[in-house]
Amino acid sequence: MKTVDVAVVGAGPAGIAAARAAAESGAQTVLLDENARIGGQLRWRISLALEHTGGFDIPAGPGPDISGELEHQLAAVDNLTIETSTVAWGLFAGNVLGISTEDAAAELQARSIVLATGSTDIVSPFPGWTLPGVMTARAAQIFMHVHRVLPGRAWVILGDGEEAAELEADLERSGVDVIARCADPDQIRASGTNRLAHVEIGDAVYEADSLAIALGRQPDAELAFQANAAGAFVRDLGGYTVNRDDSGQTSEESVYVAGDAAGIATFDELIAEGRVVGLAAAGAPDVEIATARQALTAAGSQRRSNAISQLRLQAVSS
Amino acid sequence: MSEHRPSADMQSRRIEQHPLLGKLAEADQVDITVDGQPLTAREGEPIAAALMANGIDICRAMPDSGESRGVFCGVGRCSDCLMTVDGLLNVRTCVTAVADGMRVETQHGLGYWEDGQP
Repeated sequence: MKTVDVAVVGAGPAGIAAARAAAESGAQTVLLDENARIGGQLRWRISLALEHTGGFDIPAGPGPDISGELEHQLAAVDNLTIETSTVAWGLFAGNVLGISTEDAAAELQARSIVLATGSTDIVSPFPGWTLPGVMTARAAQIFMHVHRVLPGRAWVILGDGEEAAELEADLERSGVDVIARCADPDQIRASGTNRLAHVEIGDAVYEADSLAIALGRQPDAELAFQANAAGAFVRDLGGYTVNRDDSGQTSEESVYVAGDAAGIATFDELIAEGRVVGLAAAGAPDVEIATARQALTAAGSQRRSNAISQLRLQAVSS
Repeated sequence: MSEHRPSADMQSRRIEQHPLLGKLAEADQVDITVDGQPLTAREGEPIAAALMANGIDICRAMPDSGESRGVFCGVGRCSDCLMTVDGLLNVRTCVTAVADGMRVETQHGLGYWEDGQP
């Protein structure tokens, strides 16, 4: 079985920052991602990616190659290997990751594991939600921005938070119409024969070919839970997620979680937190970790750090 | 519907121009078939993107109910976009890249292997 010092799962903002920090402090580091290109949500949340790339220094548009720029930057980092199109599907005793590529499965052991697995979109079912044409906000963003295809031309957005506003701006940039927005999943009904054709919101009926569910994002820390890490539901972190110490370590020794997987965060926060966790996972000197932690405090939101403290207290009392 | 639509060709759902992402890069063409009909895709893109660009939004029909399903999560998690590809059942078309000569078929229920067995 192949063994490395640090394995980072997920090459989004937090995972990239963690892998880079770990490798730069001398640890043999592998960065895994299931997609063919690195960047994670930076690839589809382009308006945020171009405004808030923190330490990544991606040149402003038009036409930025976000994945290419990140690949170029990481190519200059010693001790770092990037494995794309590689799914980490299991985390077993002894820090062993089950990984698979298109035609092979393997095990990968690491002294420390950093899970930077991001988030999934929150979905709430409603009548007609399974019709083709109804999709998550993330699917809409990926098809428009990564695949460069319009899922439809007449849109209804379900949701009234930041994600809904972000998607509305994205759709307008792609030149299509947002004809209605609905805040409440209990007030919406979708209908059509084989495909979305109408959306009812309360008493109003709209002709629409697409409906995006933009109710927000929730942490995805499934691999940590598979490894028995303790967690709890904390609304201000986006849902159910892991309890961690201030280095990002879970209740399972040398299993760390960084980024949205541990509580939905801003881009600057993701990058700063990835750096703290990457240094800790690599066993970097305390003084370096302390400096990175100060940068995280400066970049972080009070609301998220309060929520993380609340999760720790819940873990202590349970 | 707005009057001018600079970024989208009315015939195609490709986003050729984008105010932040710029012009769509050139890509090699890949020829596939969908339920026997020829269709042109961009090299490297997922099957579901090629279908969507050509106006196809339905990937499969559910067992029992026969209800249609199409792209829902876009990240390979939800199974709504499963299709039969080169005879292989349950391929996640939103995360599987096209390849030249690929045969893509709408999957009915749990699908059928090439020997006709469900």
